[in-house]
Amino acid sequence: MTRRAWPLLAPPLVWLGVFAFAPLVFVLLLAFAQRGRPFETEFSAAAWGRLLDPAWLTAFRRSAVLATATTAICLLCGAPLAVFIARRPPRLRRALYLAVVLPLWANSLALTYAWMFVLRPSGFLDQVAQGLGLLAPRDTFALLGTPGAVLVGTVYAYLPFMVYAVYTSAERLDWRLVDAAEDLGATRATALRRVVLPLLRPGLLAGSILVFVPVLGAFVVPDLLGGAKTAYLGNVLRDCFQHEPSDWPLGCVLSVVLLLLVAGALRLLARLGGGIDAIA
Amino acid sequence: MSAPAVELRSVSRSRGGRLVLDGVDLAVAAGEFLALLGPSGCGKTTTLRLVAGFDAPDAGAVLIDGRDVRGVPPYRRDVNTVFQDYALFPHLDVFANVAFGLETAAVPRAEIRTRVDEALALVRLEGLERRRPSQLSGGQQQRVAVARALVRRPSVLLLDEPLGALDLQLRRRMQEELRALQRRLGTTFVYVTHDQEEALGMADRVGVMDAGRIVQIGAPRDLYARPVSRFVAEFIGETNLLEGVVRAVDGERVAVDVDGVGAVVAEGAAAAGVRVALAVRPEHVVLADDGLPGVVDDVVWNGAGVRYRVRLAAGAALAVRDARGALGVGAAVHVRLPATDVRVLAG
Repeated sequence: MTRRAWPLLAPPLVWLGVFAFAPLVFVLLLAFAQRGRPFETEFSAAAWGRLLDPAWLTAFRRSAVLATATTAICLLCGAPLAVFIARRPPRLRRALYLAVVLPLWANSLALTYAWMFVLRPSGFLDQVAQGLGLLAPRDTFALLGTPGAVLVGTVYAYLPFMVYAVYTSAERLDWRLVDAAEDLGATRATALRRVVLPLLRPGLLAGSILVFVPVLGAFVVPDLLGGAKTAYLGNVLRDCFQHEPSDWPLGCVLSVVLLLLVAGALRLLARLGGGIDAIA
Repeated sequence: MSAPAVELRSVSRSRGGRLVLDGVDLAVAAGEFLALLGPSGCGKTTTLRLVAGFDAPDAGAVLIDGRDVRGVPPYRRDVNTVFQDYALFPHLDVFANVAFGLETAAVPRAEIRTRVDEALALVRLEGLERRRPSQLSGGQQQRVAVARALVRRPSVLLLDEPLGALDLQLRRRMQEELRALQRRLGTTFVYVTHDQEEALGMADRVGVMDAGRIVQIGAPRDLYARPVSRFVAEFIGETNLLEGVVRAVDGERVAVDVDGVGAVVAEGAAAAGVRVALAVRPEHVVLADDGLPGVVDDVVWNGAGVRYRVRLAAGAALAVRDARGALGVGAAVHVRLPATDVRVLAG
């Protein structure tokens, strides 16, 4: 690095140091503080012992299942959609792409409330189903407050990220390679498996990370669509800090563990995906 | 006589309301090297895609080795393609690219090894098996594309502007290599190009295409010597196009009153009184002591000879090629147009 680059780099470095790195250090320090007195200098590892609390383990498992299911559904629906859009003529392509990412421009809280109105008893979904004769009058699917409703909410909220990531790869893909594969005796399925998927892999990986990581720590969608009783990792974490009696050290321990787990998962993905470049 | 390796029977194809192929008839004999030559948009690549199976005709039939291949997908056709810009798999190395077409055919692993080695030796790429396409030069990529297509031992190899991305020197060398390869293997080649020098130099026969039709097909020498139309005459080599009215007909020869030139005798058929176009190659215009008087008004030297522009006293300008090239601008000359080298064009 040249000497002259330093003045330019100073602002971002200071910013990162103060607003990104320092809070991480605080979190790590607080993980060793005492419950109820987080800012005293006396250190304690007591919070780490509470890590095995079944409540937190249940929340973790629930969040892991939710994040995995959301990622899988987003992959299965988002990837074909992204490929479809990428292969349209330019003008249609732009319009379709816009339609997919449009929800990202709206307030996510408002959109989640909208889903409450759709899923609640006698809500939009029930009414449509009753109108079509799929549901008895005055009956309900009773979806609101179930894990299914949470899944619907997270898939809805994060699908655009998957489409965006895969679209970026699909747009750059030279589709004549599929012709070449078929010319060399590959059926459609073989061409997909041996040519298309490997070349889309960076986008599939990036999209999976963009969906999996935030859903793992999500709490707004679970709060609103999952009901008060089902706690996900994000809710547990938030409660550690917000609710009395608060438990900041445990919250920080959970954050650190979550960070390590995500880092580990990314490393694994990077290895599977042939280098960190595929993810970045 | 055995069935042609590839046959098109009045094949038409339109796309977006435009007729891309307009009743194309074509038969390529087994072992033949056929070039399809034409400007971009003439339908030559579409013809290739119909044979490969990436596209289907709206009307007419495509036959490979005598069998109608309607509805047969590309992966079931005994043809392989060398794509324009090669379409090599970027995520696979050279070996895996070439092996791809054998793996899809479930060839045993040991046989794949030997056949890929053979194919790479054929195009002189031994030792580069582990390189990715992005690590190869344009010429090397081109060879991989040829090896990848030939390793399946297809009865017909389709080549779509295979040398278009290479510089002139490399293109010349690859032309020779591909020609030698074709002779050695005896594989039928259908070779699409817009480069007339390439088509004339490599192919046994050349089909000239224009606006979705094959306007003339024949041996390179015949096309050059006897173009049937103004389009073919202009597209293949350099030519002097003249226009005039037929004054008299005598068997295979006609006497024409050419605008700006005078009386010229040409070969071909036309009715008296009709307005016709004539073509004469610059190297066939003879500088002589007598004939049509004119003045040299431009001289271009290109190493192998000289190209004069001669302004005739009667008004027209003719391109004249001459090996010696001793004349300067302003020199007074006489030119003659030998009847055997002047052709009457159809349109």
